[in-house]
Amino acid sequence: MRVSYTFDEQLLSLQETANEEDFEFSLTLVAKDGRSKMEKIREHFDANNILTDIHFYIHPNNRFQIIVRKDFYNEFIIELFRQQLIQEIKWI
Amino acid sequence: MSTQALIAIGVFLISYAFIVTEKIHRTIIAMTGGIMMVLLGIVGQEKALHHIDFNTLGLLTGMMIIVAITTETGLFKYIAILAAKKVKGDPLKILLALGTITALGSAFLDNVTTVLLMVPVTFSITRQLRVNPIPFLITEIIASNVGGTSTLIGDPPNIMLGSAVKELTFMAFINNLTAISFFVLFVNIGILAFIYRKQLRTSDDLKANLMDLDEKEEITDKRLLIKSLVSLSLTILGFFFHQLLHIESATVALAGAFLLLLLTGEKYLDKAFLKVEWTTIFFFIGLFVLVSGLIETGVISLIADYSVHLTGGNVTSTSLLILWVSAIASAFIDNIPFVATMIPMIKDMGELGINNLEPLWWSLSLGACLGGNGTLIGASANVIVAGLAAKEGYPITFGKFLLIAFPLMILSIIICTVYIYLRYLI
Repeated sequence: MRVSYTFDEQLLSLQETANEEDFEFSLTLVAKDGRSKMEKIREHFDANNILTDIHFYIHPNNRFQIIVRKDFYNEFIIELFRQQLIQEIKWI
Repeated sequence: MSTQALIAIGVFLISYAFIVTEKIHRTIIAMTGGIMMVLLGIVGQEKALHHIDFNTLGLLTGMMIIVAITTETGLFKYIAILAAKKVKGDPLKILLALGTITALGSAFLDNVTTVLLMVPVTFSITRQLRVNPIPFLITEIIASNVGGTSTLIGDPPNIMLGSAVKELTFMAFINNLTAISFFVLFVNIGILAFIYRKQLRTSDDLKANLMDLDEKEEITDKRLLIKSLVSLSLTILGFFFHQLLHIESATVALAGAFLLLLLTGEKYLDKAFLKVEWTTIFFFIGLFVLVSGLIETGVISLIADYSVHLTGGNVTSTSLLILWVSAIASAFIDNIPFVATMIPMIKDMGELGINNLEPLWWSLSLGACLGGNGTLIGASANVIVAGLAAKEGYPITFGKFLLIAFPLMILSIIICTVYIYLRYLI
């Protein structure tokens, strides 16, 4: 089951594209405190000893590219929600 | 042959068989075998302790502590991304770059640690470029074993050799093995790049995306990075001058490790000690005692005597025999117990009339280290990378690896045969 989500455009911009094996997110932070939240999400996935669950790439100007394996999509969205980077999640 | 010698051979062969089959952890087998040697009265406890090479153990422990703390800084990911950007995101050139970085890392760090640092960043870079990671992982396996051959501290067989033979200093390894190892490396990764060239293609958009990465953001703790780099640099400098300073390599490594802990403070103490591979340390302890049983009962001298008789005491044939036997054996069995057995044997050959042991030592090092590239079970780094790759859905099968790596290993040993012959035997 997929989920839909909403986020505050004052805090960040977020685009999602689906590929064959994964989803790719491009996330740009507007708020200053977002950086530490992104670090926490990264630490969450680093701690599980799975190397290909998500790939985290840091670009200049607070832009993050995140490639998320299909089976970790929901977990990633929940982590965004846990860090209050998205405001609402719904099963669709 | 005495009854004690026969018992020692029995304990040794049974232990070796269990180590080869890998049904029970090798540390448990080596320690059990070592304890059996003492319990059965083959060697006394004092003698057994005397045979444990604390220089090897100290060097390994010190380097493991330094690496454990340095890893925390994000340095290795920074280097890999920087290298990928320097070659403009071209996958073929990234393969060459990551292979070279792995070899350089393995020259100064433990091979397993190096590949554990390289594999995650390899998955990360290849995913972004949407290329198959397997060619990169196979290149890194081969590069780690070749790079490890180039220095005294690069691979456990070299650490053991440097510790057992006074003349084999850090600089002696640099002078005798570094150039040939890097020549072998470039031949190997050049061939791998040619084999995989068709799989190493990506789009300009993906390359541009990689070029946009900010590698500086990967450094998580700048203060810790400075402390780590200072300690690591002083340690490597210490290795270069340890003979001149009349200190053993273990003292250098442990001094570096505890200088770093002194600079970082207590908060890293527990973490660093948890990351020390105590199973490896105890594997060595067990092995030293196991081999001591063969030494004390005269078995090693007998085999050395037979080998000298077989080659007629000729340095050329003995060297080349050691090189090839070490390589083939190391492709299938753990090279650490093999080298632990060969060291006293070569020393005995010296007492039996072979005057020039230098080519024999370098043959043993090149054969045992490079032989590990022959099969997927030839070295710990191979097993670790294959295990991680399979877990992530990219299996490297025994057959697939053998088909590529075994001919490369044979080619490497042919190159080394020419090198040993031209440099030491004519």
